[in-house]
Amino acid sequence: MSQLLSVTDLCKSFAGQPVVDSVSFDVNESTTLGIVGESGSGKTTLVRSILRAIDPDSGTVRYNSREGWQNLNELTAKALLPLRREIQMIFQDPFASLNPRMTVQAILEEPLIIHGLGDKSWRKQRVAEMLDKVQLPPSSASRFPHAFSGGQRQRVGIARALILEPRLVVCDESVSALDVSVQAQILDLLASLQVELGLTYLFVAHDLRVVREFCDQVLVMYEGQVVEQGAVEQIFNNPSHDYTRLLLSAIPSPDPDERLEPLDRGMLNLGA
Amino acid sequence: MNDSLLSIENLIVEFKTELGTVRALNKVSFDVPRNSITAVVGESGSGKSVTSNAIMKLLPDSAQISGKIILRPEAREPIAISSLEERDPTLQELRGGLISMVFQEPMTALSPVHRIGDQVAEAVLCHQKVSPETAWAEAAEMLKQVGLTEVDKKMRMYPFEFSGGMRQRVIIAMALICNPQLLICDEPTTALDVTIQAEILVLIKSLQRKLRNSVLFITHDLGVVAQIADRVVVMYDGQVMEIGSVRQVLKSPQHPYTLHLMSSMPGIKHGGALQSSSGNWAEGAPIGSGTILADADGGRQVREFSQ
Repeated sequence: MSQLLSVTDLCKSFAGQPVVDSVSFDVNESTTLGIVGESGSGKTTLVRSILRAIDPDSGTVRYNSREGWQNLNELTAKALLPLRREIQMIFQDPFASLNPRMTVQAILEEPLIIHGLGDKSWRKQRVAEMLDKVQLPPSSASRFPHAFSGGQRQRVGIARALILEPRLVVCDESVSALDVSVQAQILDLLASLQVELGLTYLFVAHDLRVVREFCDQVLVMYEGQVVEQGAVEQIFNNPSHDYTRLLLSAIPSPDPDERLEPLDRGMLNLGA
Repeated sequence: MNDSLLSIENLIVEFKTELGTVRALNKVSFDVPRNSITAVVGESGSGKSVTSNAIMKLLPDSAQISGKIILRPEAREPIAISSLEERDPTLQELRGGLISMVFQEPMTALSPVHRIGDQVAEAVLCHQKVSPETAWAEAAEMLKQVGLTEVDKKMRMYPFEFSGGMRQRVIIAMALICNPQLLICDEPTTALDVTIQAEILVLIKSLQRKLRNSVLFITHDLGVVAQIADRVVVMYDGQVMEIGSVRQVLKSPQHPYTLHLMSSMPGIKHGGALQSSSGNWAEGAPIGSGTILADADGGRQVREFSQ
């Protein structure tokens, strides 16, 4: 298995406050890395810095592109453009992330137009293929986002991210806004697309139950730093950091006989 | 003789839309017993929030409502909420007094331009004839009870200076300050992190045990249900699928929809692939006219279904 992404000492601060504090990790191709932590732990800032949606202060983000290894952090915006095809994002809010005045056809076609791919009839065919892949009916293309439920909108968001045939897909809380049963359907879809297309996911989530089901490796963040990283089973069965233990103790079990007893923050050594 | 704090009987709520009439609730009946926590669980669109809004009479004018909602407060006559007129003074007493509500979004449920202390004290001033100083003191006491520290300083702060968890504590304080007999919590922890969620769940449960009131807790998370509820009402498509104690429903679910909901949960227990569909439940499957089958004592109720 080859490495796809290697992040070293990535830092980003806002107003002198470090939000991402020397974060380092590697990701192998066709695997899923879960990034967990509470609000304010720096998860979103981390993935946005990797995407160069915001510019990190220091550190390197080495990405194994189709043309070989590149440091995303050093590239100019213009040099980055072809790589943007390979790295795409699925957002959290299926209501806010689709333009209400564009049809699904226009929404899905836009990335192709931006990257100058194909002619009109080819694009139309690609959109139809993508709709099929995310299990939406072909008639969806002519409709507007308001005609869809949350789960269906998230399928549109997935189709938009995947239409450029990316290799690395960043899912920032992509299933957090969905109901359990819709959430399970979307996770099923993401998992089958990963197998089919060989995708690599960076999966940001605060729901540890989802992370356990869906991810191979996990990165636990607290106050901008990585406090623990490892294989998913290792983190869940044998957490070594107090903060990971706190997170795990806070998961409400569906068994009424298991009492919810969150660890006391004050008693823990959370110094990151 | 029914002695539950709240009874909902054959509640039907319909909305007229351009595309015809939508039946949001279809003959919903359940009780909220005294001194206990009842959870209503279901997906979006199952009618959970319409039910809670109907109890508070917060549905828009376009809603056509039939059926009965009866509140039996302690030390006074039962109130038929469903037949109260909009201008009835009892309604003022009901909202925020006998029944109060905790909403999902701790960001939008507080006024951004008023101090925390004033917002909590306002609820007291609305319902009790007391001086502003007394109301302020009561607010301080309540905020201590929900676990805020340095209360005097925090009461002079504004919501934007608070984290989501702290805001939700403030909202719970506002809801409880007039000592309501029924507290409705509509997805109060959905917008919170898992660690903060755990703290708020523990808080709601311990306050309920202390104040001995009733809580109607609306959620879609079965993990939350298992941890907080005494009784569970499972809803789907505006109808009740199953009612029972938390152990009955979660340990031995009877209705295929409940099984489906449980199998959809990203689990800590079962490994392997997610199951988004359990064998005998199809999304949008017609429920038919299945009647509710109840045990002799009425404690366990399951809607009839075809195998």
